[in-house]
This record gives sequence, C-alpha cells and structure tokens, in this order.
Amino acid sequence: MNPQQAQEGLASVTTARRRTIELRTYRHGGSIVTAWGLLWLSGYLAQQFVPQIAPWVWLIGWAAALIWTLTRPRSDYDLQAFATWAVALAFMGLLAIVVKADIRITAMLFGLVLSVSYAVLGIWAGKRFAALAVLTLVSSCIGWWLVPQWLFLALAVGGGGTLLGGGLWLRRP
Amino acid sequence: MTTGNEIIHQQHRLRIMAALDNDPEPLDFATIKAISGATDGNLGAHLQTLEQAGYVTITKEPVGRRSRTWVSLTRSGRRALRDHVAFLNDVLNFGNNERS
Repeated sequence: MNPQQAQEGLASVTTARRRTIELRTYRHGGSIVTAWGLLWLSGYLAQQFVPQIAPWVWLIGWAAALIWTLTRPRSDYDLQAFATWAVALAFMGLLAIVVKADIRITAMLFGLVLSVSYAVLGIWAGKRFAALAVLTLVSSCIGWWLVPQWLFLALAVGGGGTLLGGGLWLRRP
Repeated sequence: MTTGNEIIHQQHRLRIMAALDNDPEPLDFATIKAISGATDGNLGAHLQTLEQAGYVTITKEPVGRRSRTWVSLTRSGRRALRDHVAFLNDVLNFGNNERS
C-alpha cells in the first residue's frame, strides 16, 4: 500500500465519522424540533384566531416542549444547542423590551431569532438545520411584508409547519 | 508496524466500520447506507463479509410486515479497525519521512 492509498483510507474514516455524528445529531434533534414546531403551530394559530386563549396555549405549549426536550436522551450537541437557544432567547427578550415591541413585532423578532439560531446550528451541527433557517426566515418575511394581516397565520403555517416537517426530515438518514 | 487489513480496507467497508466505531448505539441499515454510499445490494454483501470475519453483528427487528436491520461492531471489529487505522498512519508517516 502506498501513502496516497493510506491517505485516502484515513480520509474515508474521517468522512464516515463526521457523517455519523451529523446523522446522530439529526436523529436526536428530530423529535425535539417537531415538538417546538407543534408549539409554534398551535401558539400562532391561537394568536391569529382566538387571541384571548393564546397566552394559555403558549404557556402550556412552552412547558410541554421544554419537558419533552429535557427528557430526550442526551447527544453530543446538547450543550451547544441549549447555549445557542438560551443566548438567542435572552437577546430577543432584551431587544423586545428595548424597542418596546408589541405582540406583532415580538412575534417577528421571535421568527428572526429562530432563523438565526437554526443558521448557527446549521454551520456547526449539520446543513439540514440551515435549510430550516431559510424556510422559517422566508415564512416570517412573507408574513411581515406580504400578508401583514395574517402574520400569525404565516408564522404558524410557515414556521410551525417547517419545524414539524423538518423534525420528521431530520429523523431520516 | 502493524499489518494492513484487506477485509477492512475496501472503501465502503472502511466507512461502515468507522461509522459503527463512532456511534455507541447500533446503526440501522438506512443510516449505514447513507454514510457508506453503498447501494442496497452492495451494502448487504459488505455487511455479510464483515459479519463472516467476526467484525460486526447483525440483528433483524420485525417492524410490521417488514424487518429493520441493526448492525453493531464487535470487540474484535473495533480492535481490527484501530489496528488498521494505525497501519494507515504508519504508511503515511513512513512515506512522508522518506520524502523529507
């Protein structure tokens, strides 16, 4: 065996190991993304059509999604993912307070922050997260600029639907 | 220097072994196929070769009318892969030393 063949063999090993980690991250993240997609879908649908009960839907949904997330088996990227979300949510909360955001602006900020967070995960943990980032960003922008009267519906169907479908997609090899 | 392993060195089988070595859980057929880049038929043959060598164990789990194939690395498979990777590093280092 010559050095070039050895190098190709080692490159194959490295590629396979990297891909295994990526697929494992998807496998572990899939059901969590689906859970948060369900929260988005139900929360923003309630916000659009029955705003008087929306706070309760959000409260129960957040609690359920958090419990689901924290009770999943741990994976390599858990710490990075939690840190990314914690920083993103803290940033969004502070921004909403500073700009005295109303419910619509807060919803849009949440959509943008979600997109950025998935983009960061896309860079570090796997390209499929970046695809989710693009879809949630596009749906947020469509809701904000093209159909502002249906912003919450756009976020529910676009963002929530993306996460629901994305969660199932992530679980496929 | 350790000796190279002809069974493992084939590109698809090397990827299969590396993938199994890197995941603490058994991997299913579809995941291994995605990582190795082998076709269904080829992958079956490669897994059979590795199983006959005692490097992997294959179990089938019934899921409805179909069955799901799970593959995991045996202790001797893990050792064989580590030895082969060490051999590849030796070949590479030896080649680099000769050039310099």
